Amino acid sequence: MAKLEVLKYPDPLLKEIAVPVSSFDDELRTFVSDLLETMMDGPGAVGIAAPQVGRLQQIVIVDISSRPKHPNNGRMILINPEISSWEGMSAGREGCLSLPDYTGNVIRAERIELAAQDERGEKRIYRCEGFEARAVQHEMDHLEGILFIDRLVSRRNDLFKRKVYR
Amino acid sequence: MHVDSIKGKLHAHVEPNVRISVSGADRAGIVSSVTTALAESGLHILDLESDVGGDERQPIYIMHIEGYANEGTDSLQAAVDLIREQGIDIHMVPVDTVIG
Repeated sequence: MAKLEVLKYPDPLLKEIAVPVSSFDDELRTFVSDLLETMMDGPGAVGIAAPQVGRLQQIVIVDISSRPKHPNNGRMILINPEISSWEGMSAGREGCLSLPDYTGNVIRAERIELAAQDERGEKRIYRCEGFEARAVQHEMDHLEGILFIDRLVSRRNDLFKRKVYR
Repeated sequence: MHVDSIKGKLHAHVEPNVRISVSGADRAGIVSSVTTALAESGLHILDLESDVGGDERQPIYIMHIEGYANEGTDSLQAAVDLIREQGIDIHMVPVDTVIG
């Protein structure tokens, strides 16, 4: 395993559209484990998307099990993910490994259903709600070249400078 | 005059885990009484903004605090409930930030 470099905004690769994965080989699985290590190294990170390390493929990892008070599916390796249904809307706070100095309030669907493939190409169906649904939508936005700052309603009211302390 | 160097600590952030909204009739000492009670229950204030509204006869004070509850949100909630008993409108909501 190797930790990868996380691209920071305004790196142009963060605004590109990712393409589907077609071959589920050992190289892909090595990349997924590197991506996982990179996510776990990010302070407090609950998700990561391949474009954040410069690989423009539809690969996302979400794992909110470090926040056990939120219902969750454990570690989800989401390759070629597609959301099939949305329900409800709520605003919540988001930050990003690629935008480390800000957080923002973003409106997301409260409940989603999605289909994806795992790192072996097996099809998986997930139902997510609340915090986990928010994390999945945040990461899947990276596959479309969209960052949370693109979804703020108001820069003045919804964008927060993260504090440096201690 | 002298100049001290400081460490920027780029990207080393503490995320707030609670947001507290306060409003009520404006009076001298309202900030002190609220923040003292919250600090004694383990609140580390990271951001505070306040404003006075209403009119001259009935000024209204509004304050938003974001911070980190060092001792968890239960003891902080108890402090919030005590402040509310003094006639100050105060609400606490957890903040949980997706980082990804």
